Amino acid sequence: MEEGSDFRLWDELIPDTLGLIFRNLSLLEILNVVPRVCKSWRRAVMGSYCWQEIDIDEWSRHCRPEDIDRMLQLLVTRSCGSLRKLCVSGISNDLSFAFIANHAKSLQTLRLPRSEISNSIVEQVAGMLSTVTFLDLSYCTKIGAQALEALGKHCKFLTGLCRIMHPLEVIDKLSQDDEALAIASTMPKLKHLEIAYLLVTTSSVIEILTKCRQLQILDVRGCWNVNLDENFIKKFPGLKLVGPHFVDYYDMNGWDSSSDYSGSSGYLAWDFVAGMDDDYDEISDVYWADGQQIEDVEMWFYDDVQAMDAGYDWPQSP
Amino acid sequence: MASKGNLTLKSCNGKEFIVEEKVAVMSTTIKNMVDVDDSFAQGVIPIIGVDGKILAKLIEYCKEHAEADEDEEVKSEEYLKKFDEKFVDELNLNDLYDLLKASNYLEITKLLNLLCQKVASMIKGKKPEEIRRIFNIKNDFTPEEEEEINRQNPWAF
Repeated sequence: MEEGSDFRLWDELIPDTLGLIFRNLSLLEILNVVPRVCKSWRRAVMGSYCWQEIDIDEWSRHCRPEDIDRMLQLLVTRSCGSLRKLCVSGISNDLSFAFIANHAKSLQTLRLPRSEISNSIVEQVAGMLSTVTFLDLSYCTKIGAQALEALGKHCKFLTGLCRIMHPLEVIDKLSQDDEALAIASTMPKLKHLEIAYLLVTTSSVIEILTKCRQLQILDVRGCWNVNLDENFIKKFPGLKLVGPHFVDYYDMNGWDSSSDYSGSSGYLAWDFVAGMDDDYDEISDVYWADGQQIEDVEMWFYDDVQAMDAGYDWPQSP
Repeated sequence: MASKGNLTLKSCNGKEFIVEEKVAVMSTTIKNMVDVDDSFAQGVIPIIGVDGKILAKLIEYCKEHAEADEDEEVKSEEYLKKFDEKFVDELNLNDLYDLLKASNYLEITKLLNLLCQKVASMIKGKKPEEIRRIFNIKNDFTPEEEEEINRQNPWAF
């Protein structure tokens, strides 16, 4: 040590600084390693400072539903009502959703992609999610317009919504126009809306554009039934429209299951999108200014190798 | 004497630094002081608990970033990234600690996050005893407590 015996007391850092440090570690390290270092670090990990933002999306994609439930219980309880952001993939039942809602009094960002939650539970507890400003319910196949409407009515400050579908999962659905109309009628403050592959028609997208006047980003990639007139879009100078047509990764490279484009690389795109929500209002203008980034986002569900190998036809543009 | 647009910051050991206002207000704490009370903008702002060496480091960091915010062409994102890397790599453990505390107190969020990432990178992949050695942390668990912790099943990942 350069300065003699003048050691700094790393165990006496205030808990919120320790929380900021530990946030950069993996979940495994925060839960299994840090608490074994010393009492003060253990206290920091047990307390709420580490858990104002809980992002276990990546972890939760690889584990059993009961483990996700158990982990949620543990971490959300630790947040002691200070939970601001929660990202978890594939919660398997309505109870977990109700549990989250019960601890949501400071919650701003809620990402629950691939969750098996129902319309009825969303309608029951939406009132407890009133502080939420960014919501991701992509690939949740059991909910529909009712859930979106309930959320729209209660989340008065909602500025961001992701409701992206997997193209293979909407094959048996006739239309999701009711969802688009629920968005249009209950979420007027939206600035950011992603509905890639949602089965919607031109008229309901126009309805969204007409009602959500603050929209800056609208992502309708893969919504093949949507056909928006260029001159019409010009009426929304503040809007960045993405899709419905796009050159996707699949088209560019062809599909090769032996390529390294699987699993982890899919997360990159997801992380990119997941990283969007923080201070979204502040960065959005800058971030999207040149209109490049969003086209660069790979469609992350292509990492579903099995689905691709199963020989489904990829939905083509008409 | 600080001219208009400049502020004078004084460290706890009496060293004075004249800095441009745009550099100083990278610190939310200083920004709030200047916004609330005009006399700070003319006089000397005492930076409590931060010595001259650390304050110089803080100013070095804020200067680069304030200039980059102003002119992206000269100081690109790439340039800043390299600057940040070099900045944290050159810190010894005590400086790292002092800067961490100072940037927390002065609310220089970007720097605080950068430092936290650096500390985390020193923790990553290490065992508890290695971490203790790196940061000179005393193991304050009694043998019984340690045994109890070890008995609790770690999370399987």
